[in-house]
Amino acid sequence: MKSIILSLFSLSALLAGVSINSASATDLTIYTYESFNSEWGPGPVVFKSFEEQCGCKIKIVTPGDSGTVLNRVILEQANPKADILLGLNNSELEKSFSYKLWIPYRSPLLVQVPIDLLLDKKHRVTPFDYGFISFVYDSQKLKNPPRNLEDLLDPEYRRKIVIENPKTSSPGLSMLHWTIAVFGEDGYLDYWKKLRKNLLSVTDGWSAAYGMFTKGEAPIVLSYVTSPAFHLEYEKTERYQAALFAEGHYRQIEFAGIIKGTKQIKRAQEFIDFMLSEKFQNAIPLTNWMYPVIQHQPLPDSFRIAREPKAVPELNSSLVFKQNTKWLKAWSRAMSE
Amino acid sequence: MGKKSLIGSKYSTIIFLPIVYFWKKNTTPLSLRFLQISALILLVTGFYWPVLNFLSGSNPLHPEENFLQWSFFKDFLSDSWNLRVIIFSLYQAFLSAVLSIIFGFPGAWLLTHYNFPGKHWFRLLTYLPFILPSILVVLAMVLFFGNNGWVNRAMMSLLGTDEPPVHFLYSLSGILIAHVFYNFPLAMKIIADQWENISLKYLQAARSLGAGNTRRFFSITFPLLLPSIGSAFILIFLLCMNSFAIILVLGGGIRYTTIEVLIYQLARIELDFSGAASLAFLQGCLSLLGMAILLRGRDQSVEQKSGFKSWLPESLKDGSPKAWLGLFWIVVVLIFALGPLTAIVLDSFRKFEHGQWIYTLEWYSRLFSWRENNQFLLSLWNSLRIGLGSALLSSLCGLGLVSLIAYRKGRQRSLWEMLTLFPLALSTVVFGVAWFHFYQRHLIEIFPLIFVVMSMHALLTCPYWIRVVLPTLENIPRQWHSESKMLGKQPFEHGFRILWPWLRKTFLIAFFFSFSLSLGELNSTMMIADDTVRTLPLEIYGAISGYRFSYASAVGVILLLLSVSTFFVVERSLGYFGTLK
Repeated sequence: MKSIILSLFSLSALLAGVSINSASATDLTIYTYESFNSEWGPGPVVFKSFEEQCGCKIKIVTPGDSGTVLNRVILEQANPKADILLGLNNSELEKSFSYKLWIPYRSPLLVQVPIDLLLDKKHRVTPFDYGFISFVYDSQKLKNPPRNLEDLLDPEYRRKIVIENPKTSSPGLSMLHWTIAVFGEDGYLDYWKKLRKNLLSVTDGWSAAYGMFTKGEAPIVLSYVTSPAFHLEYEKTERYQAALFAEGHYRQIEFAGIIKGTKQIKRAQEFIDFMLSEKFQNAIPLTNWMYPVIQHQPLPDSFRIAREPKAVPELNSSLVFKQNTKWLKAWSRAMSE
Repeated sequence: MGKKSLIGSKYSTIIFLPIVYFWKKNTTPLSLRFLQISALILLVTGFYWPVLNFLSGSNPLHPEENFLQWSFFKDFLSDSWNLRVIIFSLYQAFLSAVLSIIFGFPGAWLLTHYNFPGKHWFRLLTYLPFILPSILVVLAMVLFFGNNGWVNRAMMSLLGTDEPPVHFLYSLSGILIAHVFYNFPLAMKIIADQWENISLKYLQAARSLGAGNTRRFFSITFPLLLPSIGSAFILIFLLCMNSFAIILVLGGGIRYTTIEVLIYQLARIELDFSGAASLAFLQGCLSLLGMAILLRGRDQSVEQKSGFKSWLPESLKDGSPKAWLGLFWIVVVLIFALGPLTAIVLDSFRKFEHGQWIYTLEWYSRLFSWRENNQFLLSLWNSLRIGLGSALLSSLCGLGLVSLIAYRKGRQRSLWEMLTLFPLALSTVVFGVAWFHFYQRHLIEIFPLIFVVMSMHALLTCPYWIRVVLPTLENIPRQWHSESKMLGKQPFEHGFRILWPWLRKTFLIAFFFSFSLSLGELNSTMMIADDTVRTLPLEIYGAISGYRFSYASAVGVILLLLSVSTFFVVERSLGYFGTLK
């Protein structure tokens, strides 16, 4: 018994011992969401080229999905560890403002960014990419795709649609805001009550929903206008299409900001500038599957299947901040009646 | 800062006092006492301290607010919608636990009474769902049971229809199927362990008194099995209370909401930590209440004596109906439990190209290719060492705790059991947040992150370890311990010569279980982890957010292989130690 315990102990010590990494001094710490820095995301490309450009060492921390990253920064507010938060959603803007997290910075490159993407006039946060949520369908199974939100209520689509839960997922929340933007605060619940019959499942996140779609379980899924571009680029197929809706699509803009308390303000500003530069922006379409805020070069060919749709005006972000809890509560009650 | 540390010290006294008391009262051998104390310290500093500190402390975002607010409970409980959510959470967990036991029971019977070729593999394979992160389990269920899944497609081609004949998923039945798929092996294992140790004496005596099969079962076997059934019920109930993705996706997501979903929403989306903590507290209390009811009056000891086993193929030849029933059950399990896993394995060999699926080895060659940014190999290494480290820690910690619970009776026992089970009852989302605070305030830059993650996993898997080992340990007759003491055996000799051979197999299973759970753990780690402890589940999520679903399946298959091969390596080495005389 003794020898076993001893040998197990030494084994674990050995296993752990190898781990102690030589923590070298980092010049800039960036918090971002998990998928941004995954092997398939833009992270590996863009962070490396920034390191080359600045001749410095950056540390990337990924505390989960995009909602969690902001939470982490807010929790650390008293003792900030990060210099930059990369990947904040437009629906979270007001929350971040209410905690006074940012040091404003107006990058000189902002002049090239379309004005309607600059939601924060005080430049506390800077947009780096944007996209539109949309219903993606399998053209082999669906001969008659929907053309607007009302079409989705057609009995023809009964139990054929998969969406994400607005309470747990960011495209889900955007869909809720989309319906509020289109039908107003008085009308959105009626829409959802009618939509209910056609929903096969309301999943916890994009991954499960899109997985169900690509495995052939449902022919319509709530995803992004740019999703078909992935299938064209890597699977050489145009079978999956985004349904373009007459009333326009809800836009998600992703932002980054410099966190108050940073000791690396110059470096951080340098990174924000880099974020708007050619190297970063060109990497966005084929890795993050979003539109770059500055088109330094034409979009990749596969984006011909992902033309930018008309945008519906986003809900005012302070309204979202104030009313979100109420909307979600009303939504979940209306859906479970 | 001064105020905070005061609160901390107040709680640390309350927590550490019992340990001091315990130390003084104890008569157990020094080595075991050392293990017990270290286990308690880990449990207390790793779980109770951070959680109590968090619950009693002030909200980091609103320092003027306390976490637990009675007004929150009052508001929450006065809303009938919330009450419905609470009732549904308990209801589905109860149903899932009962069904898992009903489904696992024949398996326990079969494993106890028959030997058959591949039995070893069969046992092992049924545990595998535990290793997969929930997203893959969900997709596996969809691939197999979905409206367009294997079962439905097979039926459609048989019946010649275009519409799926059975809707398994997207309703309560979807939740239950997935929960049973996940949990019945646990019930099977825990019950079989107890069953194997029921003395034949009783049954023979009953038979000689003329009691029939049914009567023997209900008046002898069943009552003797009750403790293990209770043990399995508690574990599965708690697991299903904390279930999240399965409930939302496979339940259809509209009508079925559980407390865990509300906690997630409050903690992650609305950043309302007070609400999340209060709800988690409520959920934990409800689970504990359920456990307390169950733990009452199940103090039974079973005299041991291994039973004989028949050879299943022989009994089949003799036309024994029982054996045929067993075979039927095996076939059902193979279809329903391994079907979804097979679907994932097949998916890992597929690729969608030019509008159709083709079969390819591309994902695997990608996994093992030597290239820049191959994060897979790094994650593999991280998963392996975190899994092994935490399983070892969990075994040591479990050993200490289990020795505290075993052979105790009455209220004291219930108390210890509750203390060790509570980590399971608390929502992992809230545990993650509480730990994050604790880590930031006390541990950061003291311990390498990898040790922190190991201990965190060990804490979360330790309750399983205890549940798996406890029934077997308690089957050892008490007089063995006193006898070996009378014979002047040293504690180590006693442990090694007597307890070890008896418990070896169970230890192995418990170790394997902890290891597997650690491999699949994601929720609480994500909160504190950074790149240095990136594990395979993260790799799976990363691939999926990059649209690479089949690649994710391939990583899942590696996770399964990793776990199975580790099982065999550990088993071999245990076999080696076991034969030392």
